[in-house]
Amino acid sequence: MVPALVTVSGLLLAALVLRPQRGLLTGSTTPPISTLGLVGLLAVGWLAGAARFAARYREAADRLVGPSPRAERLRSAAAVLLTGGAFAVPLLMFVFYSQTSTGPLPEVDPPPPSQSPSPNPGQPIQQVVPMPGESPQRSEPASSFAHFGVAALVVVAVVGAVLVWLRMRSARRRPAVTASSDTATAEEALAEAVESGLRALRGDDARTAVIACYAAMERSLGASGVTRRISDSPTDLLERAVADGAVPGVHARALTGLFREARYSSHPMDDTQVQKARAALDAIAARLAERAEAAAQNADTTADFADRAQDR
Amino acid sequence: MTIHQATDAPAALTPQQAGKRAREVLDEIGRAVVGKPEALDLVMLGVLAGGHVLIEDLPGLGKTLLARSFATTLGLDFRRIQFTPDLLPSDVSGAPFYDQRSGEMVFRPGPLFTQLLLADEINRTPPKTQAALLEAMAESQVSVDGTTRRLPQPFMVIATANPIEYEGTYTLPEAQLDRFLLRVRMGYLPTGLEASMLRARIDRAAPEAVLQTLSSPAELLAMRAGLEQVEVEDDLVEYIIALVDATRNDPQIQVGASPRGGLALVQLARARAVLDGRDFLTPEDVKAVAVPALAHRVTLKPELWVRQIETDDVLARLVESVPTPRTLPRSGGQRAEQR
Repeated sequence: MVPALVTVSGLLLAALVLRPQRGLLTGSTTPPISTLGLVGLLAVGWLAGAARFAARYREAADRLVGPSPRAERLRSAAAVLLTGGAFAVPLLMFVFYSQTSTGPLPEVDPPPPSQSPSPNPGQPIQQVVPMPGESPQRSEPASSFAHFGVAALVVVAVVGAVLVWLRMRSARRRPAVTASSDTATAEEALAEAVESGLRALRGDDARTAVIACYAAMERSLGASGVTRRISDSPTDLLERAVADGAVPGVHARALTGLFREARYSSHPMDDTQVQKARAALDAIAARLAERAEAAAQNADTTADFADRAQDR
Repeated sequence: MTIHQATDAPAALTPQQAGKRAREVLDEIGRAVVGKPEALDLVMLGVLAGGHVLIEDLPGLGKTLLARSFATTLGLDFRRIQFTPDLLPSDVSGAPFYDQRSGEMVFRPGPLFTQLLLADEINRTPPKTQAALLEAMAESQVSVDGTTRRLPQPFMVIATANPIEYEGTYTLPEAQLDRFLLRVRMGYLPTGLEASMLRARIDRAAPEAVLQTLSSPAELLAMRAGLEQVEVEDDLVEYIIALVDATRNDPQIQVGASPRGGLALVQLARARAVLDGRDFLTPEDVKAVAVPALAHRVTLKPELWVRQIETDDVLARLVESVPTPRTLPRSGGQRAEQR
């Protein structure tokens, strides 16, 4: 129903715009407002289309099962590009339109050159425009419009770039930011997790000790950003942690193997396995602490600011 | 034509030994069937778990070669039936005929009486002939003229099917699909591997690689017996049940997996553990075989057909949503509860 209405009204509009007595191809006789309106319509159409596509894309991406880290990165990049493209293309259309209409426009537009209340009085940049030695009568309105477009584009681009940068930064520094913003609690949690694993190691039951070791690794991984998903098998978690670089592969693999045996088999477990689990956990804890420390050093006020901005 | 009968009850191999032998067999088959390690692994799991395998894909992807390679390497007696629209049930199971010398009706066994049967293009034959396979596949026996005859052991069917959308095919009935332990999709080779496959063919100067027989029917039975020693923890049984149950409650699925699906999932997962050289089951085993074991047992809602959603996709989504067993076992899990 709605698409039909849109189509019919679009056709009506096209017919109106293409009225023969206006002269189809002579741009100068066409009142600028109708061309501007066309550009505006195109821009709105593009925005609507892009928004629809982005929504659909997000839906499909959400349904993606177990994406690899690479696919994950691609997905986030695509999300940013989609949003950027949705706004950048209409803006560019306006800019190009205002540039091309610089020539034919002047005779049509009568407003007084200086101190004219511009169509967008709120824009401070426009006050700067008319100053240098251009002949004010001819190009003022068009150029002010062009400058407005360029300025808006620049503002949007800068804001977008800053947002993207902040997001990438916070995504990359997620563990770091956590560690730096409340360093004490995160490190305490990590230390506590490792300690609880080691405490369990001192217990009598070797099986429980190995499982507790693994649980400690899992918790400290969670604290550093690699959380266990609900449908993760031990290997899934291991692969993500290794791909993330959070843990040394050899030790994490050894600990995971030991855990699987302890958790899912009735094999007798003895001290050698506990020793191995302990060594692996030590190595993993060392790596995690190293990462947390390096991240804490790197994290500066900007990261904090970004984190807070995102929190808000 | 000799049919190797397993003379005595096989001494069971340990899961580790069985896994080692199975990997040797797979390596040998890998010389002939290039670049399909996942498909080979899955078929091997079906062989180890003692089930029938359905290979579904387009023509010319090496389905027949794969089945023949398994028969050769495992030392199984091998027959092949090319299913055509005019094939009759008696062409499959055998029929009595009149022996003029003795003046009696004598049963002449059909190609079904073998150890590894390749049922090629099984969906090209009408349901009547497809049904002739049913009893044989489920019960390992054939009833003709009121007499029931046992099939040789081990007996397994590797059936190939072209995708249903192609002309001149009869969709396999649900009941028969359920009798296959797993469904394997082969898919095209990556171009690099396809080139090396062609190169290997040119260098070999013979149509196919000659494979060695590495095993025997008796050993296969022993390997299957080894499968039974793989232990399954209670939490994993619950996980399997949760997966099967999820197929019955999913909004996109009309008919969920049967209890036979759960059994198949257990056996295939155990086979995967054996192939990995373990004698205990882990969540990885279950996750890895869930889609091949269950996807052909569920029926999607009709409207999804239009959206080109396949059971494989739906099952993969389910596997990603069903929780795996928690890290700490229930008995000693106080501290982990806090997470």
